[in-house]
Amino acid sequence: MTVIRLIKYLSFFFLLFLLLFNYLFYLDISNRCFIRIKTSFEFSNSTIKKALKVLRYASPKDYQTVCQNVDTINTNVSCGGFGGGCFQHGEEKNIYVSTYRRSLDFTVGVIIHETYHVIQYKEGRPSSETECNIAMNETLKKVVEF
Amino acid sequence: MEKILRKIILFIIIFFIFYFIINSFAYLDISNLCYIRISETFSRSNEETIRAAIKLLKRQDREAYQTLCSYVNEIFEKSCSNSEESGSCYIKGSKAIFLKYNSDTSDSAIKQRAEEIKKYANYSKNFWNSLK
Repeated sequence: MTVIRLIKYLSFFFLLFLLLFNYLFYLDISNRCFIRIKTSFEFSNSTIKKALKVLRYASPKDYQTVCQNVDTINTNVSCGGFGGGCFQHGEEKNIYVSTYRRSLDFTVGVIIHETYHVIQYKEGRPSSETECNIAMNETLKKVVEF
Repeated sequence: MEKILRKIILFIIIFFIFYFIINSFAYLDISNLCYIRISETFSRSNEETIRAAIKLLKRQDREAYQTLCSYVNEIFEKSCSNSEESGSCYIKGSKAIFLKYNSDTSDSAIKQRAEEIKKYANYSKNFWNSLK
């Protein structure tokens, strides 16, 4: 009886762990991609995860760029404001993407835009919106089909 | 016997409650294993024409309906990139299609939406088949 109860408790906690892990992290073992998603008051990480999957299948090169340069996506509102994105110098590999209410392709674009800011910072180059916007537009051209 | 009957009735009640809840935010056709979530914007929506367009496809174009059920799992009633000029689109790497908001509820508007849904469902099918 005690063993059965123990199995029940362990199963419950394992399930809870899986749910929490799935909610707070993006994991793609085959592509060695592991990204932490910091949740905001909107309590939804689904758009971010969908956007990462869009990149994975529709633009694998950009997906690798994101996986290699970003380890945390924070969905809280930051300098990009509501429905925008932001990269703050000093917060290496950490980008802000607050686009829950926006469309999926817009989220994809913001992730790419902020990833290029991370690359610029990593390479010691000055922040250039032009380069990030070009990268974002190129990705969106590959992803969106009208 | 009475216990079994009670359980069956309870199951039917729970089934219908779930069915109605799911139907409030999605298109559900159990017999064809078709589930498509319909997401709308808070300020305005014309979800009924999307449902009517799907039903029209089911009646008139079975092949397109099967493609839709297999390759689309979410329909958003908003323009791509949140830009009115962008219009409708399909996002590669997903099973989501975006339909531009249209307040028109006439039969011709429903027919037009059905054509749009069919077009983007085919885009999705082509994309996923290209990866195979």
